[in-house]
Amino acid sequence: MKKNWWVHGILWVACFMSVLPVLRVIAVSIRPGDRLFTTEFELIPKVTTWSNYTEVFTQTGFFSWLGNSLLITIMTAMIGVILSATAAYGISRYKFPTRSALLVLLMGTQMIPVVVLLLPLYFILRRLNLIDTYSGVIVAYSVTTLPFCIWLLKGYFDTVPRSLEEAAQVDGLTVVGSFWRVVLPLSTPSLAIAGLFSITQAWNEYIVARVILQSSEKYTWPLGLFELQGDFSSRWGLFAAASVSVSIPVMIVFLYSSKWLLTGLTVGSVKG
Amino acid sequence: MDSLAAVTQVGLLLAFTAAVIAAVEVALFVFIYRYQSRFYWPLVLGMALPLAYGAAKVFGKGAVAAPDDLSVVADPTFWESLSLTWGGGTFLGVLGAGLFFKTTIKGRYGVPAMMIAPAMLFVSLLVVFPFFFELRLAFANLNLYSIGRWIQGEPLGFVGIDNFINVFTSSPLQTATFWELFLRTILWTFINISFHVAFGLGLALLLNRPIRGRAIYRTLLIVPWAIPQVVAVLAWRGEFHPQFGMVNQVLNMFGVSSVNWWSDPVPIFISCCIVNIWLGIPFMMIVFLGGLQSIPKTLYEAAEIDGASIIKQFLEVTVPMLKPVVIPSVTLGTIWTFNNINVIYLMTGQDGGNESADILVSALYKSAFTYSRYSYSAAFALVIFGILMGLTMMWMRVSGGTSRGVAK
Repeated sequence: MKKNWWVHGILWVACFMSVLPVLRVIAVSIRPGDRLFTTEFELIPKVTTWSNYTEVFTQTGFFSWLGNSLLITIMTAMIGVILSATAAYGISRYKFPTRSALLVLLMGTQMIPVVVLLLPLYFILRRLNLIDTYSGVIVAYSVTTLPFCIWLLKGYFDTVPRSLEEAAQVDGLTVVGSFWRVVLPLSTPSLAIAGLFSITQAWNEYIVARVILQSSEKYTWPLGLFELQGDFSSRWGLFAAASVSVSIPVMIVFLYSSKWLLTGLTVGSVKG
Repeated sequence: MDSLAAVTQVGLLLAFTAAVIAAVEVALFVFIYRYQSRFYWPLVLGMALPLAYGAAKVFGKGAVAAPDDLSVVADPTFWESLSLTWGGGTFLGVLGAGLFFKTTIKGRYGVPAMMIAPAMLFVSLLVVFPFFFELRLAFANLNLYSIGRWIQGEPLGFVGIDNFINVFTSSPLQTATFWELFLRTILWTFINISFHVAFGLGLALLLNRPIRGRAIYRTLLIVPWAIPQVVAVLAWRGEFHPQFGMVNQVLNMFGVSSVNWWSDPVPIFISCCIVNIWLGIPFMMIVFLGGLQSIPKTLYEAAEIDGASIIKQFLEVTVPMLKPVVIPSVTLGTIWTFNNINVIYLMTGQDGGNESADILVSALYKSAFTYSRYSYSAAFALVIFGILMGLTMMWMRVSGGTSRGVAK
């Protein structure tokens, strides 16, 4: 045991560094307004208050931001999972003339950041009257989530043995029936990973939403948070309170699901 | 242009969103047709009603106006868009179900075509078409002054490769040149990835040892990954505030004078690097930890019997066994870091901000949406795309080479 002291020491320092900014934000969020601009370093505030939280919840559009984000996230995840599950199955199970070109296209898409395509996408969405609508954002998010989910699920469906469906079809199920009743139930974990990936992407996205959403009542929470932090002087406490309220559920979900998420990422990367 | 544009618009919008619902409904209709056929026609009818409502709304008098001016923003009501998409989805769903029964029996490619078509429609509308549109834009002369005329129907025009020449000769921002941004991007990627790998590997090695409280350490160490990136970056931006931020306060405690992190060229770049390094370590750590745990213990035992020192064991057993994990994750990390616009954009402030930390992608964003140089940005985007493709191909060759080496 004695030999391990230095290991614990290093890990303690690393853990401290990794949670320090989080602790700071929590500390700022419960600090009363007149003590925000202390120029000396204090981690644990001497006087605490909940006024920042009550102000964020009542005076800003916090809940409307959350609602917007939730709507966009759920829609993106549903589109991502539903469309990509069928497409991935089709690509995984059938040989057809343009298959390999399709695979290259999907892989290439993953390498391109959205920013590169954002300008033409903006003009297209403008033409479709989708600027400043939720659908516009959902559509733009699908640029990243769809190819990734297809690739991920295709990799998983490849590992599901074909004989299972053949058996099901011998027993009288249709092609769709065997997909629906045999393959999909078996792939729940990978469907969950695809969903989780879409959710984290859409929930945390900032840049695309900044371009597409223009009126403040449609803002998602990252846009709202930036507004709060933008004028540093007056609303630092509010920003901190909003950050803490937003991050805690996300972090719980993430820490709970990180193992799954990681498997998905590595599956995607090894294949990609 | 008016009526035609309105009809194409509506048509595209319909096809777009309806494709999604159609995918759900194909499955639903097929299922019901197959197993619960008495509900089929009532369901079709019930779902087609919104289509009638939506069509009446859209093709009725003065329903949709073409956006002839950038300030006009469409605002369809919730029920209108719902009925439109739902109705369109129904239509396509019925069509798809019908097609399904026709093709499963006869056609060879019916099933895969149906399964892949909705997603491919999406991908082509969102990726392939924009790409070619961008290519077209790059050879046109579209900017803040000419966009009004373009929207009113004037053709795009053709200026040859002027935009591409301009990318290399004039600044995408106000002063920073392309080459400056390019070098900074390479530096940015290199610094970040080396720190991610070094710290990630170090922590993974420590966590791989049988120590008490490993789960707690692991949980605390992935906090930077778990916290939403926007929150983390904005919080760090506050901590780098020259007067009230934690970083300068700590520096002052050690007797170092305050650094102007928000505006001085070198400090602002360093602060961006610190933030991104902090954000990226957990991912590498977890990936490496997974790799380390999959190395069989017997290899180390054998090495120990052969008298290999700890360092020798690390070099001869750990490093080669870790290679298949390191290469894809470093590739992925490089592409992510190269494309990381969030950290730079949020750290340097909105709308222009400080240019001394900008990398290629953030400069692209600013030149398109802050400075409104549309054709120029399209050319710039294609140049960045080319660099990315080169990078990817290089990595594929490297990783392909090593995996062949391992296989032998």
